[in-house]
Amino acid sequence: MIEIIIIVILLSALLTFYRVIKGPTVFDRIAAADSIGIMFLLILVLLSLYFQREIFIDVAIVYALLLFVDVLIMAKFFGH
Amino acid sequence: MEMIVYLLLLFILLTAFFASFTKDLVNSLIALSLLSSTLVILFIILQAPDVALTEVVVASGITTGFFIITIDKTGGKR
Repeated sequence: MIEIIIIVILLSALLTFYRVIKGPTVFDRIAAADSIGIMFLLILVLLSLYFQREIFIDVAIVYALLLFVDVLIMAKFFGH
Repeated sequence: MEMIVYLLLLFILLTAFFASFTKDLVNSLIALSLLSSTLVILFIILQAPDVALTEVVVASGITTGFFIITIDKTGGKR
């Protein structure tokens, strides 16, 4: 069941990557990359549930924090 | 689980081609960040959480931030 959910999320991430390739402006690419990052965060939590190991949650927490900081830095330096 | 690994390898291939053959530095940087975060999921599937944690902190966080600041300070396009 969890494998099917991860496969569907990966297919939607592949569809979102089309917007990264053919986005007209930089902001479309940043928004699409942030969306793909949130999908990967969900995949990390589902893999921790699949393997029954709690240490994989820590990787998901650090990735969520650094994704937020990363998008914040992009918005600060490319927003003007 | 093999299907997930094949989809992740396809995603790594697409992001690597886009990061190599695009004309703009910012697009290449965004694709490189996606490549490193895809590699994190592959390390998790291969049961190596410490390598995945280091990859998250260094490649997906610090390198992208420093490259953004460097591209902004040097003016940027191509």
